[in-house]
Amino acid sequence: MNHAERERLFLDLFQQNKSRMHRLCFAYLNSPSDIDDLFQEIMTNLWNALPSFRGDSHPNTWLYRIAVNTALLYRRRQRPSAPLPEIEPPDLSPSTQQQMESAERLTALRRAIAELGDQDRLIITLLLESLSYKEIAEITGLTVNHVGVKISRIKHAIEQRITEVSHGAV
Amino acid sequence: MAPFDELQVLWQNQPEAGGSHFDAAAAAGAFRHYGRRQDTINIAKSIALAAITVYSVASMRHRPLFLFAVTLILFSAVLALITEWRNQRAIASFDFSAPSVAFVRGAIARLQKQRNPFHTREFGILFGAVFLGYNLMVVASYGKWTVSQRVIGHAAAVFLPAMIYVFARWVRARRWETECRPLVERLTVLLDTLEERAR
Repeated sequence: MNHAERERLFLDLFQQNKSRMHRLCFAYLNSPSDIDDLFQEIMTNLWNALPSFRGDSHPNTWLYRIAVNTALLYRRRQRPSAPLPEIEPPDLSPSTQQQMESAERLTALRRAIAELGDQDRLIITLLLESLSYKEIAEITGLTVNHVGVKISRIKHAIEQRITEVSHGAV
Repeated sequence: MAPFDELQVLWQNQPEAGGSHFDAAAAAGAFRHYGRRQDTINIAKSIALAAITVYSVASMRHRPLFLFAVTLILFSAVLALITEWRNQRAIASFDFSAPSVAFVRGAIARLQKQRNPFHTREFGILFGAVFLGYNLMVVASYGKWTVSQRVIGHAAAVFLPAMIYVFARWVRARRWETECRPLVERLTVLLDTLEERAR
């Protein structure tokens, strides 16, 4: 891979996945500066890893693997034993009742995700990004069946947690 | 129970964190402009060094000590030029598409260092080489000089590098104001925004 090809592939992946990668960072961190730092680190690692990309898997799947590994290492390095940060409500500029409800629900979702273990958090984040079971299995290294079982359990836990929050039973 | 599809839509439509409202393209353009300007200046310096090299070899080939002194200065000048050029190219290629607080702080620090880049090993070698080289040139001219002329020659060889340093600092300070200050001001605004969001 020459420099021009590397740059083109990097820009393609960056443009296609910028928002997804930001949301993935949301799943692991909460402070905006930490999220920015992690995003920067993911992109740096992507750039460094590009020469070793052989095309065995889809580029987006490959990028997710880099992003997940970077996120896990980043969090361990930053706060090895600290509790998860307090979740801030997203800035949705709530001008209507519906927007306020959406903001509350998104906060509850983020909080529910933050309470999950690393692997479950990764799986639910990938599912929320509309990845297929097969793609999730490729990224996590689990079998498709195992992914299916885990998803069913995580979805139930998430929905239950959000329902508890919406009923004030925190 | 919250329907999962609804959560999926909510998740995918959430706003992005970080300096997404920062005009990354404009910043990249300003830094590219800085890079082009430095390229032009450094190319001019390279041509000047090449011309001095050719002239020195042609005119001083029968004066080995003189030629050695000039070569010493030229080699260290080339080393300093390459180091500085690489540093300036690195600054010009900063990517501000996803800036973080640490990254912007680092970028500002690197630009601030451009105000006085002479406190580096390479420039230390250059000033040392200039000092040594000028004194060697004086020694090379001993044959046709009187004792007092030699003393004056050595005094000038000490004084001249100091004057060059002061002049170079003055030129750099002026260049920094026009080349780097606008970039630093641009980044300071971005840094304030990012820090505000982090609070």
